[in-house]
Amino acid sequence: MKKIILMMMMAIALVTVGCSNDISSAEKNEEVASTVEKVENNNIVVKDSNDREVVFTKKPEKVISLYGSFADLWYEAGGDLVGICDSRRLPEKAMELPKVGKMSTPNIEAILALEPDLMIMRSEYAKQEELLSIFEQNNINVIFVNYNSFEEMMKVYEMFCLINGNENIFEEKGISMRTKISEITELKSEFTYLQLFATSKSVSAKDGNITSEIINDFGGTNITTKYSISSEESKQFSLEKVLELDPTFIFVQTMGSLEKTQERMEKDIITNPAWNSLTAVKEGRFIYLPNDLFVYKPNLRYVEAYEYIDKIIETIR
Amino acid sequence: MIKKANIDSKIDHRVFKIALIFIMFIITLIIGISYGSLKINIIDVFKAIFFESDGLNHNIIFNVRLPRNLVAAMVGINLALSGVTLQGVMNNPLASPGLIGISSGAGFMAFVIMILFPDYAYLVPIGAFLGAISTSFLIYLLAYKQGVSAIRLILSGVAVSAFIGAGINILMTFYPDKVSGGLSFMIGGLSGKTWPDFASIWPYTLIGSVLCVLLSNQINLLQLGDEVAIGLGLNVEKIRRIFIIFASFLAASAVSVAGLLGFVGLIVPHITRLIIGSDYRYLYPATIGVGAITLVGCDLIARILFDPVELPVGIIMAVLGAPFFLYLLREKK
Repeated sequence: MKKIILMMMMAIALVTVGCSNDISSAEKNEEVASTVEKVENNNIVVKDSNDREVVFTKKPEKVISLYGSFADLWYEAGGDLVGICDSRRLPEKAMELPKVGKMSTPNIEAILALEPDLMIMRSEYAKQEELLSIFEQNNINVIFVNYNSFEEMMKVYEMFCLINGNENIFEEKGISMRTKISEITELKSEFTYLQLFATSKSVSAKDGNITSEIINDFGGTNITTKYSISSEESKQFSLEKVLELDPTFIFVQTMGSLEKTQERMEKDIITNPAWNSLTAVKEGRFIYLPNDLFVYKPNLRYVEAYEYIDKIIETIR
Repeated sequence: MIKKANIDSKIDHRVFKIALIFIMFIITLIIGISYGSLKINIIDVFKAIFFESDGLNHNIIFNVRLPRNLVAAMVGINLALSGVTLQGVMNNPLASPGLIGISSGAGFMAFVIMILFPDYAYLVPIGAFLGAISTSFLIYLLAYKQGVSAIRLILSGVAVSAFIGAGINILMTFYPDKVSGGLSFMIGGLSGKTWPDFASIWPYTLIGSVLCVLLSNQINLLQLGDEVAIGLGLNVEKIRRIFIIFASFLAASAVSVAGLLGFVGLIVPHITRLIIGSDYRYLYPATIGVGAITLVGCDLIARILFDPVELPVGIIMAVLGAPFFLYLLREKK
């Protein structure tokens, strides 16, 4: 059995490598392929983001997603849903679906009442991970996923396509995205940046998330990188260190509306001599990033996100 | 004659202690301004403040470290004065700004704004201020029944804070993805505080400190108990109301700038009391000094411990301050 799995893995890896255009993409494909396996008897075995092997004896028909962005990617993989957690930001198709509680407080009874055969849940999120045993007791398949970079998203996308029997969609959409992104990021520039969250009142720095993964692909270095800030957190960072390192760009993210945050922050920064002395501020490289591409997961809009950053980096090339 | 000499020496002793506290404060402030991410020697620090008007050193020392340290001192002073005042007017060692709804009111407003109206995040300081003041007034009104007894006020504070705490928990439960902003307010900190923050807090500190020193005799009388104070001609109800309003404004101004730093308002007054006794004529000025030292010192540690990543100052205060307080408590007879 292990040999068969290994052979299948190698076959998939070879096929994926064959479709790629350059060496770096090929390396990345190998990584992607290693998480998805097909075994005999038409069963599909996938490895989720928590490294759990999940076996599908048939295509799941009643699927519930407990995270809005995953629902979006699941639809893009040709899947369908019967329920979703309630959230302000849901894919259009999911608006009318039965709601099964909030992301942090899923309603078990509402979920079980829909008799799902697959739960898509968020990994590294205790409020959802603690529900695993309940679903296992009810013979409901669970896959935990999460991704903070394009390649991680591709792994999940490939897995979703495979579960839905739509490998062709992945080949068509996924591979072309990868090609475009390799083209966009071909020209690297050396620059430093700070990724700031929401306010000029404190220096709340972020790293290891979607935005920094994209910017780093253009040759950027986050000035906070060596201080291990994980994707889920923001850390208070020394303002004087920011002044000392004087990053080329400052990228700002917000949970609220971009226009209102921008208007207010600009007022705050103009009146604050410390911020005002930074080169990025003086030379107009204090950039506000739209949250639909950089705070929420861009999924199949990754190319758009890369193009957005490309235009900004263009100004220093 | 001998008795008078003893009293005089006791007074001198306390004046000496106050002077020592203020010298320590000046030293802490100088150390606070001298240490940070960028290593600058003490001479360059003074040059940057007094003789330079541009350049990296000036920018970091004058526009970042100096205002941050001054804000830290003022936040410490305001919270400590608020706490020591409340402990005095309520004759209760557990009284603190949190007790009269400052923490819950400010925290709730900060959460409401950060979670439900994130576009207006810049209103958090003013929202927190209004939340703190209105909650403390609500608690005062609920406790009012032919005057306000200290115990009724304390119990009303506990009940209202629990009620508002439920509101915060509801918001945290329903919007888990947006709690980070509110949580950082709850922990409290001085990251990124500069001159605009200094401008918004110093008037409260100045007025508060002056009033405290001027009204110290009144609060001394309250220490004797309501009946004795009334017997001595003090309008207990009115004085208590004035002090509570005054403590609310002091704490609210600090909380709106630095978030919830619960420890200062409760423990600093006790530490000071253990050092200098309970006579408010000496306790007030000493509290000003100890409050400022505590926050400036702890913020220095919070800044340099994992430099350039900063820890919230509240964590440092609890980790260092609580054992120090327990040590004083055991050593003191």
